[in-house]
Amino acid sequence: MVGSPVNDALDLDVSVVQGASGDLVRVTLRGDLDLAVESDLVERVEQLLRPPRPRRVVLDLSGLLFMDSSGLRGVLRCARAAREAEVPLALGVVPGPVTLLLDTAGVTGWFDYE
Amino acid sequence: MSRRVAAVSESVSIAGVGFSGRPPEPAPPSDALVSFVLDLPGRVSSVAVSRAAISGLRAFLSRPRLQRFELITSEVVTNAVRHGCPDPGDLVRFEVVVRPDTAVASVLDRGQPFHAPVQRPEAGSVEGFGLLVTAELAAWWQVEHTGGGNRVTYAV
Repeated sequence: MVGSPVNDALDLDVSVVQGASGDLVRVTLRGDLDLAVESDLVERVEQLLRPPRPRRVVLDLSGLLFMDSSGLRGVLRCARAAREAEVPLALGVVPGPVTLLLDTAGVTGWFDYE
Repeated sequence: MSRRVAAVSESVSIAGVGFSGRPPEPAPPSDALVSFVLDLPGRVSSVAVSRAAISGLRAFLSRPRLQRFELITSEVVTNAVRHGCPDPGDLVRFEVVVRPDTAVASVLDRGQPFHAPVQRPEAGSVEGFGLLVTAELAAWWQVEHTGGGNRVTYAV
């Protein structure tokens, strides 16, 4: 487990489960995901997608206290980077501010979920 | 209230904070439960400051309304600091009035006039969700061109 505060508003914890067919990477976000930290999230996930590529990435958003459309753009950029790297990416969510945003933006069906 | 907001960021200038029964400068509408005005620096950290100010209204708004108000505020203030502060030192004025039946906020910037066609982004898009979220969650909203910028007003 490698935890690191992106800034005062967002923490990212990255856990890696090693397996014979590749690593399972879980990125746990806690705090607020908005314009101030969007690019930090994308850069971190792009690093994790570099070779040797993981078998699967989960972005666990269930610990977020807030996410707006800038945060959503960050998540969508992560999903696009994962597609380009041919690594399956899934979201972890619980009902709350994140699902309010996903539903309102009409993108709930754009993602896979764990 | 003023102490709470000031604690979030010392660089925020509080132009006016008001509670009913204690007239501030500028005076709030007489039926307001609470009103305040913030002058926010045109930088990304101001988005979180605007949300913190809204979260302080939890005594006046139900949780779902507060959640919608906070999300719309984040969208509109984000747009203002990204596109509405062309010069260093430009401020975003954030005005809030809460009445018994409605909560209204205005965000004033110094950006070029913008028109607001609300379109649902196509699948695969990563941009263009801010106005959609605003339009979907606000009870009403409008954009006015003030001559020196834009005023976006919305209510929940």
